[in-house]
Amino acid sequence: MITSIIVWGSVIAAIVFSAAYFLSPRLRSQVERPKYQFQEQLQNFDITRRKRPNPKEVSDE
Amino acid sequence: MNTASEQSLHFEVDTMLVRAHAYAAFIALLIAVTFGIIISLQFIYPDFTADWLPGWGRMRYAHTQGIMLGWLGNAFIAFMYHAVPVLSGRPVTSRTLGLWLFGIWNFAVMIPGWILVLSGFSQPLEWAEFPMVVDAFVILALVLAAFQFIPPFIRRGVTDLYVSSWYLIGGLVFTLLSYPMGNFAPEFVPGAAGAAFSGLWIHDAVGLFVTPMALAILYYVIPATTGKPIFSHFLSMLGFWGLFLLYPLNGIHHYIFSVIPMEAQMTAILASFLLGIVVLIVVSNLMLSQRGAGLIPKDIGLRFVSMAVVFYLIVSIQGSLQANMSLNQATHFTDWVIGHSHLAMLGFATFSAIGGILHTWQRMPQVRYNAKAFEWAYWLLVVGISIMVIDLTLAGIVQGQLWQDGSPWIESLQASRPYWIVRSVSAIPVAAGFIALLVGMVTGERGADAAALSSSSQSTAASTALAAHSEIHSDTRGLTMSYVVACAAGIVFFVLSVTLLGLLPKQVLEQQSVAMAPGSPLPYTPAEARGRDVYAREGCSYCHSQQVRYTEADIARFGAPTLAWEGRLEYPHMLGTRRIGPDLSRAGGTRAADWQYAHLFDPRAVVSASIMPSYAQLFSGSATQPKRDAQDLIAYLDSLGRARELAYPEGDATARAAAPDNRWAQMSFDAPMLNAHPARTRVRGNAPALDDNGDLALGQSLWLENCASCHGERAQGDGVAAQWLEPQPKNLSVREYSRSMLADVLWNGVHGSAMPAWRDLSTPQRSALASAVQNFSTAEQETANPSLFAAGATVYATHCTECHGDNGAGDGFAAAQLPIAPTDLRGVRASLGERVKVLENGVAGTSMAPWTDRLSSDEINAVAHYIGEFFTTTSGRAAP
Repeated sequence: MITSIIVWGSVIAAIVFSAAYFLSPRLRSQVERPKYQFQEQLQNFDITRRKRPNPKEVSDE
Repeated sequence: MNTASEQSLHFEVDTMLVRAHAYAAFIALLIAVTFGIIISLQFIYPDFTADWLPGWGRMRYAHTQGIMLGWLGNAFIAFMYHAVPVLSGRPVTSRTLGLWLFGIWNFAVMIPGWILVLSGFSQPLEWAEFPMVVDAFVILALVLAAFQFIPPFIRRGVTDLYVSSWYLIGGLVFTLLSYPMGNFAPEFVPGAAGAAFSGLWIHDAVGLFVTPMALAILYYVIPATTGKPIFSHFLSMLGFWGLFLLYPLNGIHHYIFSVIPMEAQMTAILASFLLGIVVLIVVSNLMLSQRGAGLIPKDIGLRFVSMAVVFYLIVSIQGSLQANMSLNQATHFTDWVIGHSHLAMLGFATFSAIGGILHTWQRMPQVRYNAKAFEWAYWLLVVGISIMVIDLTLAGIVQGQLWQDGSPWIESLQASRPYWIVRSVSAIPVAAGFIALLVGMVTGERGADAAALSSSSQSTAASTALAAHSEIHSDTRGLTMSYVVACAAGIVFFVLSVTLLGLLPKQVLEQQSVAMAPGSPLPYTPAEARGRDVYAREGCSYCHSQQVRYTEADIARFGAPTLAWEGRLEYPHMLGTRRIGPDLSRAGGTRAADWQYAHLFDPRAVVSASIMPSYAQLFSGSATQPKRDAQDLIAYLDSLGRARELAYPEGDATARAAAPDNRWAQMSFDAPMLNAHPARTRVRGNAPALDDNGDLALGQSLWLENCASCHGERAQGDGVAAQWLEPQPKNLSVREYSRSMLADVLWNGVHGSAMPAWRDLSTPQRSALASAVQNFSTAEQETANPSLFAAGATVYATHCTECHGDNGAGDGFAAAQLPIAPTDLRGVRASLGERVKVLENGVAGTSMAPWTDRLSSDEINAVAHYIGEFFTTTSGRAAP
């Protein structure tokens, strides 16, 4: 009983999530956006450090 | 992201705290690995540290806690100090908070924890070995970590969280929930019910602490190094939710075939299988995200991370498979599981942590960076860990096979020795790799980040793609609500796992205990309770389980599977997850106390192939002088299984009637023997007959392996252990034995003495051993002296029959009252001189007293002659 609930619950949840993802461009875009944002943050982080050869990172030095 | 929000980002990395935790991590790693190497060497040279280091079990405690909290804990925190500001665009909460966190983690948790467990203050719980006082500081540190690392995400706004952020937040929150559950609940919930909570924690420690942190690193380092976004954020989130739902539901797969309700076991088995599928999704996404980086990436941080992905795939598939009942039956308790845990902690988690730290190191201008040392470290670790895991996996298969086919336990130790040697050798490249890493971090040029800068900004494609995706503006309010729902779902997942695999099994097991327990089961005496503490502090449960599983192999070897009520006094439980020595849940009454003391004092003096560490520190210089700890420990061992044995068979009959529909409990009642320990001594009789001509060479070999330690190489009763045993082992060279007598002694042992039964030897082996014993005999038959016969018969009838019986069979009317049965004189005949000696001196440790104060030397001589006449080569009580 419990195992069946877990199996079907997780399978149905995955199917619903996947269907929504593939059927809705808007959701797809929202779900994928964080990876691009993160990439840009990484670039900004590097740019920040480039601008500051001795970055004002909080440090003990 | 718009320009305004870009400008509001603050990528302030507290490099001092990164370095502090990174250095602490590697120092803890080297300490923990040193413990690991020492305890692995003790498998080969069990006594090499006995005099100058704490016991094996204590160092095992220090090893596992050192790896999980000292190494991985510090490494993950170091990485978070770098990653959280980049992921959230906000600095961590405060440096002061960070200093407190560093101080508590290392100076209130690690150092005191190590000192305490090495001093004997510990919890006998897997991955929860530090005592509860230290646990309190771990929880405090986790709270501080949550305050340090979660607020930056909240300040940023919780929309559009990247998958690494999800994992970091999830890991912090769920570790905070599961750590107290796993470390405290078993102290208040006894036996198997407590083990259910332990199982939850064992898996939560990996699934809710180590794995989320490691995956956060993988999802961070791969795009940060390749300069390309991960393949699919959708798949990463599918994996995230799958893992957080399923990991906690795996817990009880550590106790398959135990008394824990089968519904809970099946849930865990199924969750393990589903988890394997989810991991395939996660790993596929991670591998696709590395497209173009090559099989062995040039960047050293990415290279470690890439290998971590491979290890994660293997360890997860392995984990899913070993939860399968068929495979579990053969591999559980073996080194297969140890290989699995090393692959998880030293392979997947450690490679992730190293990858994360090296990635961070490359981006800190003020640190030293020795690329060559890191290269060496990578290859040394890949080679070392691969050899170690393959070797332990093979060892596990061999051990499982030997256990399944009923071979003598000692054979599994002998067969494992080559694998244990390889395991210890594999530790050399592993340790060298870790040293190389530390060398790489403190030598070389400063300013490695210049190289990292050029490699991590390869592409501006991300900006373009982001712009495209930003055209669809999200409904922030809706998304925020979805995160609230997601957080609630996470809590529900955790509560679901605790309910299904902790609380419900507890309720069922309590009901079973009430229904099946005998009326007044004996509690532990104070000495036994103290002995249990000794057993726990020395880590005995790491080698000896205390659960007979519901499997044919366990029933055949140990007896009836353990029922729920048998663990009613076990706070915390010590069911165990590994067997290096045999299960001890039915140890009570199996071995004589003098054997136990001798075995504890000098294990190899009693069992030549034993690898148990010596506990000579529990004695005052001799096995005959146990200190109170040793006495208490033996008292505890003698109590194991006692309650059910005392209630048996009426207790089992009552319990059987109380649970007619419980198929698993019925399996326990149907077991042919309550205690099937092959060495357990029993009253004489019913021994299978031996072959007439045993293989003498085989017998002599078996003698040296199994008997010489007590009886001596030439069977003169002068083995190393003989000095500590009472009654002393017989001098077999001055005795003749009938074959049927030997069959009886080898099958049943000599109850009340240190002479065990040898039921795990096959009939050909026992026949060979009997031939070897008969071959030792140099006893010459004396010339018959009819003039003494009548006088001897009179003396015998007057003084000896009450114990030895009218015809010397050892069945006199007083015999049943004696702790050691009188000798059956029909099956053994000592030389005349030995008979006289026994009559004059008695036999210490038995009821045979010296007779010199009651019999004259003539009478002794006469009766000595007389009793020799009872012996016939075909006599004895063996079954035909």
